[in-house]
Amino acid sequence: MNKTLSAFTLLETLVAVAVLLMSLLGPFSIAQQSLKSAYYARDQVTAYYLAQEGLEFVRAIRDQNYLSGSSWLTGISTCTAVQCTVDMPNFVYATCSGPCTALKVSAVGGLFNQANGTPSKFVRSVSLMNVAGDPNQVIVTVTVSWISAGISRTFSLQERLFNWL
Amino acid sequence: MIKTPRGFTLLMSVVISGVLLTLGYEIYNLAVKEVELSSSGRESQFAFYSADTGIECALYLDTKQDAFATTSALTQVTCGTAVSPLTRTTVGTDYITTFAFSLGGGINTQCVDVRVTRQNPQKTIIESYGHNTCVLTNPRRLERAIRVTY
Repeated sequence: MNKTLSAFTLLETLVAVAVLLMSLLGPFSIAQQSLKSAYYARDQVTAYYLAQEGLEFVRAIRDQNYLSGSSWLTGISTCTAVQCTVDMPNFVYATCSGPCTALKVSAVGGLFNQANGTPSKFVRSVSLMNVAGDPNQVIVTVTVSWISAGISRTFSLQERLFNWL
Repeated sequence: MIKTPRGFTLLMSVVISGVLLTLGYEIYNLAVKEVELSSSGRESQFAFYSADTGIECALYLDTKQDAFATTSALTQVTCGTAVSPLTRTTVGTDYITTFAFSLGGGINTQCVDVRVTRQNPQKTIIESYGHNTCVLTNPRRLERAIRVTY
């Protein structure tokens, strides 16, 4: 009786250490994974707002053309079938030669733009596509791509604009 | 002496690990909710811009083709990827034109229902209901709607 009990403390400690180790490693890796997906969730929210801004930019150009009495896609039609970067704060756009450059975050105000600031992880490209047989309709596609926790992600938003004025 | 409690270390370790596992599970739960929330925000964008395409198309049909007048002979329109028919009904003094179309952007196909009410005297109400997916049974299906009155 005494003999069996004498080794119990050691055995108990070993089992306890094993149990603690398991319960430490489990939540630790879960927390790590959770952090990764939390970053992804955060970046995805930024990405879809950036995509929204891209679409609104094209619409703003169209509306500006209406106000100035020009044809609806004056200027922005250079982005037909090619990728363009758009810059809302400076209200400019440019075609990409090669892959589009990443958006920058301005030092003042922290606004996403293409001109100056620290480069962000987001690359946004806007492209127009003509609809066969209908010159009064255009498909606008905005693609935002970024790398989140080592995995490259993209978000693509599409809208059709019409020449209704 | 014999009454000394045995197995206290083990009990303690089980209690601590229980606390840690609960903590880990809650962190996981939180992260899953975050991803769900941001994904529904993304899907919502698809629905919203589908609805917006519906508005754009209806405005075009009205200003350029006068498609919602009682005298209009137009029977079909091309807003999305295919030709869709116009359904016209009269409710009291309102002349209602409805049409539905689908779009091919994104992973899923988006569906839009547009309802145009022409009231007498001259007033137009365009209501566009955009959906992120055309599959009615999809649990992630959601709707964003825009109304334009002029």
